[in-house]
Amino acid sequence: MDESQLVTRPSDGNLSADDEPSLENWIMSLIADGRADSLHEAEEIILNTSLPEVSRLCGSDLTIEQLAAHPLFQLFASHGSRGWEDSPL
Amino acid sequence: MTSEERLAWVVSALDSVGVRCLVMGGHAARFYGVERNTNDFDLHLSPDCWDDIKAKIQASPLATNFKVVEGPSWRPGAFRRFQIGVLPSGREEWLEFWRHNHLLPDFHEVFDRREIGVYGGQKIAFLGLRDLIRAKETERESDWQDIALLEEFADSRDYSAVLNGGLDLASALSRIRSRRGFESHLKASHFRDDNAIRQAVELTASPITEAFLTPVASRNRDAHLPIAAIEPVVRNRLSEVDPGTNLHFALVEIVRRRYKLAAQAADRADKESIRRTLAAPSDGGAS
Repeated sequence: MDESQLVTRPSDGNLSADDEPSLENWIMSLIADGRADSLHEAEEIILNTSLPEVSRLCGSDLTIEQLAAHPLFQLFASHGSRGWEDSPL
Repeated sequence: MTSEERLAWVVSALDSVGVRCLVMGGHAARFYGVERNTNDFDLHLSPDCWDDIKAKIQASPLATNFKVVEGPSWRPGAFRRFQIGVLPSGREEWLEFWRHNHLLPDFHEVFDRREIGVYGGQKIAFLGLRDLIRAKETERESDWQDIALLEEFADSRDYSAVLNGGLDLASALSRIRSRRGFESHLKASHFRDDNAIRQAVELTASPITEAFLTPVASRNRDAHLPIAAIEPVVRNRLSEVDPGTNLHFALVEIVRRRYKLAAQAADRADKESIRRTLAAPSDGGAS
């Protein structure tokens, strides 16, 4: 992905486990603005943009359970290589 | 003639004039199982064939019905390309040779790890699967899509090899790169083998593998993690999570994504450095 495609999310505050709508808005704004052509592309942009944020969250006081419930971490878990059930092998 | 048969014919034509090479690129990806359309021929050439490759091509059956032309190279000294035909679609058909690929060790080392298999009706030597994955760690997104599949194939082969006694468990664990590979070993209770995990952690050279292994390694008191590529805050979380959970896989994806971005940046920087060198005024050097 080109560096120029990296964007900052529209909201000023940090995403929390209650911010599913905020993440959805972020995705929709990327598509609406033409910075992403698809849901997958929008998620890819968000994931790359969010790396500093997830590092910050890893170093925060959040418990393992809170991290697991965080929308960004759920988004990361839904990307990457496929699990056993989804694999074509 | 299919694309596979054409590749087999090209390799055979080169072999007939003493050119030793390994198939890499799209045809190698197809050989290992990635369903991918490709018409170019991407070969890793033995360095001793480099200087007279043009003469050898012209003396081969490749030049019988087509006037072979050498095209411009964006990596002079490391990469040469020759047009060897025109496809029915009108697209040019190119034969591309690497003398040294910047992402791979030297030819003799990768040649020792080559894999030979029937492709296009003939026995062909391919770049080994793990070397092919490394060769695809470029800035191109399509290469990373191939990597995602090739990693699953590689892990699946290793897992099978462990079951049939062809590979020791520590070596297999030290190369895990896919979620499926990890889950296969988890289901088989392979992470109960403390010794194998300890050895795997010492053997691995990949932060992605390290991210997969850390939650299981942390349950082994002497495990040592030698790679510093993972951020300490992420590593701390990896040592807290239960293996195989969604949070574990989220953390692996964070590590994998950082690794991918770093590899893409390194490949881009390498290409830009070559472009700058080529653009710099010279007194008649390579063109």
